[in-house]
Amino acid sequence: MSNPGLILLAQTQCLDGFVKRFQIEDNIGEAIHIHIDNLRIDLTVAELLEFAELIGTSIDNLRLLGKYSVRHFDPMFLLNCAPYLPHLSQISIEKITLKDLEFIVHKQEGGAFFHEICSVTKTPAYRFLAHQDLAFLDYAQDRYCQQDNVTRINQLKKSIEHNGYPCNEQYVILFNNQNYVRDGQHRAAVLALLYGVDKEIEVMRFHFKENIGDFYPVQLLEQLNELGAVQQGKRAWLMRQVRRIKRILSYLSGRLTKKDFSSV
Amino acid sequence: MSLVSGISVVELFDALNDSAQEYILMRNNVNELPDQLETGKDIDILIRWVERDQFFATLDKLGYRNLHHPHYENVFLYGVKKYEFFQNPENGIIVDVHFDLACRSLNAGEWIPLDQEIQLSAWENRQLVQYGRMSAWMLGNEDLFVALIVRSVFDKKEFRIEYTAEIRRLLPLIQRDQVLEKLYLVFFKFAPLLLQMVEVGDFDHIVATYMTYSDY
Repeated sequence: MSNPGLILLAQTQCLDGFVKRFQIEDNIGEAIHIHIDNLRIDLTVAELLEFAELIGTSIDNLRLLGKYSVRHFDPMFLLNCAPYLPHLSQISIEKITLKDLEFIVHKQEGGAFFHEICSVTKTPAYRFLAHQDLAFLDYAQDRYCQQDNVTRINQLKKSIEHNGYPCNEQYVILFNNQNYVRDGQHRAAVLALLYGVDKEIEVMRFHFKENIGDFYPVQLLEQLNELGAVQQGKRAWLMRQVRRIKRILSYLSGRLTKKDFSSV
Repeated sequence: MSLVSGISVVELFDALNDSAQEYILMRNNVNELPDQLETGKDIDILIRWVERDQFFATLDKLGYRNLHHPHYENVFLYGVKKYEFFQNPENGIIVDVHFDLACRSLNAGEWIPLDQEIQLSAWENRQLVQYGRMSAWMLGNEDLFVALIVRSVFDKKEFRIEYTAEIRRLLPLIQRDQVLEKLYLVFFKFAPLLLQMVEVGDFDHIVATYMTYSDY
């Protein structure tokens, strides 16, 4: 009996690891399934929530996040940086001016995804707050499930105006020696709006062994070309590969049929 | 809005009824067949996989040609067979041939089969229904009721007016305990609340209530 009301809550895999497959599924109305390789554990929703609380407490007791608690962090942020956490050596608090921070903006052109690095005043959140730039409404965010961008930023602004920053140990977060904001882009945008870009703020910096977790932006080939990083012939070859990847993505997303794809 | 020829629809079902082929018309919401079928809308017909060659031959004789199905590239899990699309170039009628009662999973929209008990019941309880001058083999009332709810929740993610009208029509005709038993096979512990919401006509909140249901 298969349950069509299945929602994949989380998954990770490590083909050469001790546990190769770990998956948590919500089978609505039926049970929560935790798959660990070939083992399946069935839980009720209440049991899953209790289990998650226990895991959080265990992480705190093991001091995996130093003196900080998992409850101080956005769960989605912790999920995203989970692969790096075993390599965490220290968490420090330091001061930096908002204009010295770098922000990662996710972009898409056709089927190609890339990053744009910008200052706080160029982020979609700041542009919305300062200039009512509506592009922010459609900006994809993976945090704060079931909350739209505007509700989220307005609540955050109200909270910072009322409680100040940082509140409840929730900081803008950087990794290693890089100044890319890894969590807290919206917080930084609100702070820039309220106090200006010259404002010095406290940030939390995660230090990982051997700089694991460093960020390398994916840039469009046109940008690379401007920088002179790609020779003409190599560029043409790379552009062909980009077009090919775009078509594969279109095919996978169902916009092309098998027949169209065969001409790739 | 242009409509396909009602006469051609009647001829199709007359031919199917005259053949030895067993089939089930999966739905006929608000009696759109035979005379109110819009051009471009398909007729969903369920047949047995093992009888497909015979059925395709019947369609071929009637002038229907096999087309590339818009869902061909979709993912079909747990043995659901890919659907087949046929169109008659002369009258424009499109027939979508299914081999299983299936729905889209909430996970990534993969097609997955409904429980085997519902598949068997579909064939055991099919009934010949008269729609004006057209007669067609339909799902039994309980199975149709369940199928319409399943399609609304998983495939459409909403209860469209033509679906609610049909569900309301069926409500006094169904055996409640039988329906509840079948709904359990798809919605598990949400089934009693779901049936209650259907009975009071609270269709607008069913999908959201289901997605946030946590009492299990």
